Amino acid sequence: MGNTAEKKNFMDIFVDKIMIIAEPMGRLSSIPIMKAIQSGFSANMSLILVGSIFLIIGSLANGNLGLPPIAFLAPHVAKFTLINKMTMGFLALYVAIAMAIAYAKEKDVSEISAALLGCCVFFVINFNEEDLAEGVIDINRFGASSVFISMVVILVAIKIFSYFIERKLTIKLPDAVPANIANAFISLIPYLAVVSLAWLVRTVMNIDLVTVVNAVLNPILQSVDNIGFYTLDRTLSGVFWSAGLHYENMTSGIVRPFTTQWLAENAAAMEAGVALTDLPHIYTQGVNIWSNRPCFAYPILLLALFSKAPGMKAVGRACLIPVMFCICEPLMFGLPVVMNPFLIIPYILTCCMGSVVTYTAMSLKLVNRCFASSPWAAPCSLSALIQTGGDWRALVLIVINFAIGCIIYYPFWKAFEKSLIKKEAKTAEQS
Amino acid sequence: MKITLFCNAGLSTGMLVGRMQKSAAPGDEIAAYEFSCIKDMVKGSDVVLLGPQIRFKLKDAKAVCDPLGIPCDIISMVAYGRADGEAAYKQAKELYENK
Repeated sequence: MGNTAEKKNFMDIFVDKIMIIAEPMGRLSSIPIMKAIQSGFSANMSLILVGSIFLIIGSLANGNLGLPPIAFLAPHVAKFTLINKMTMGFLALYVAIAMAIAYAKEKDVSEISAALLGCCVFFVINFNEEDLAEGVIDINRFGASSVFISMVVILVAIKIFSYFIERKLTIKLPDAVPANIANAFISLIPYLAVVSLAWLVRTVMNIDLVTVVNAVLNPILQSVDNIGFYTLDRTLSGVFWSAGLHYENMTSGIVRPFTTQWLAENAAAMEAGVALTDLPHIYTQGVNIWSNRPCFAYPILLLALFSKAPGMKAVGRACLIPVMFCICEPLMFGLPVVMNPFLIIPYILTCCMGSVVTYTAMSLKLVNRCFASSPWAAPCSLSALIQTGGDWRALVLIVINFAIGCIIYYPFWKAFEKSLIKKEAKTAEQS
Repeated sequence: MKITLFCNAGLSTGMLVGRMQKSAAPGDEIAAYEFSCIKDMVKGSDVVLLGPQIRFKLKDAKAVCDPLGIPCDIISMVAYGRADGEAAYKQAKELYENK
């Protein structure tokens, strides 16, 4: 009795402490720019997925993925890898357009006007008259290296655009003119302002933001992909989820731009012939979905299914299919793991350990790094194979993570079971 | 009564939708979507419920729903966790009737 009361207090303190960080993070994730960034990147997932599928087919045909090459497809490999070049390889362009639309939606201005303006500004800020002199443009500008600058520039562009619209700094035709015609003129001055600004920067003053900023930022941005940040990110995720808060929803506006860009860089490197264990990045978009769940979720499922404590078998059975397809909410809220004083410690520990082991394994080149995208709800083993290009060692990693998870959870699970049995006995006694 | 649920990807609440439909009255419409499209999908709804894992988005949701007069709240954690469609439906109904 004393124990449960103390544990309840500990839970309240725990949640309160988390809310101190979670509240401002929640508010941060709600500001229009953050929402625009989130939407801008998630909108591109289908394109990235398609690119990955073509890349994998092309790589299979080529024999790049360890299996013998497919004879009738081998001469046409370039036709397949082309689609990856045009999707992940053009990431900055797609992000610019998607983000322009998403931000316009937040600001309640015309989405199609914003989309076209975003696309135009993207071109103007990247190329000047000399770049177009030969009638060809460098498509490397469409790729991962431009993502950050594109993001910032497009957001500023649409912000200025919406400012003009809101303050009605537009050409206003007399009311007698039909709405369609009047609307055509509304965007003129904002467009002129934004495009001219981009033009002044790139063409007139010859400041190539992409090159300038990349020279400064790149070393920093690239170094962010390290075991410290990855583990911190995953551990924080564990802490927040313990309080029932969707950490990834809060932080994807900050994390996604990095991980998506890193995935695109890995895909480009893979195509250029870099060995799959030597790809530039480890924390790619989607890697933690297949590598961490076996550590923090699967063990609970197993323990629940074989548990003699009341209710656990039923919860285990109900959660089996969702968890297999990477939907852990029923387990988190149903067992529950959320706010469960017995389980949150092992849960956070497994989030941490799973990420350490995965990152280390890839650091030591024991497992391929990821270069492809998979549908996030795909079962972990399938995702692992797709993302690493069929590396069986990724499956071994999953098993290792699972084993570690089981070891960490076991003692805490036993304590939890005991408390459940005790509770049932007490209610039986009282009735 | 048109009930619209929102969570991160529309998948976990999507599972609840099927369970809720068993308790639903004929003519009720229940659907689940991802939160990022709330502005578009909330139109025509009578009640909006959020998954508890995005409860920090309640203010955002209310900013969209209040001007449209749509009552909005967070699905009870217990009902959500146990995929208790009956409890979730009851919660929606009470929210709607008490507005």
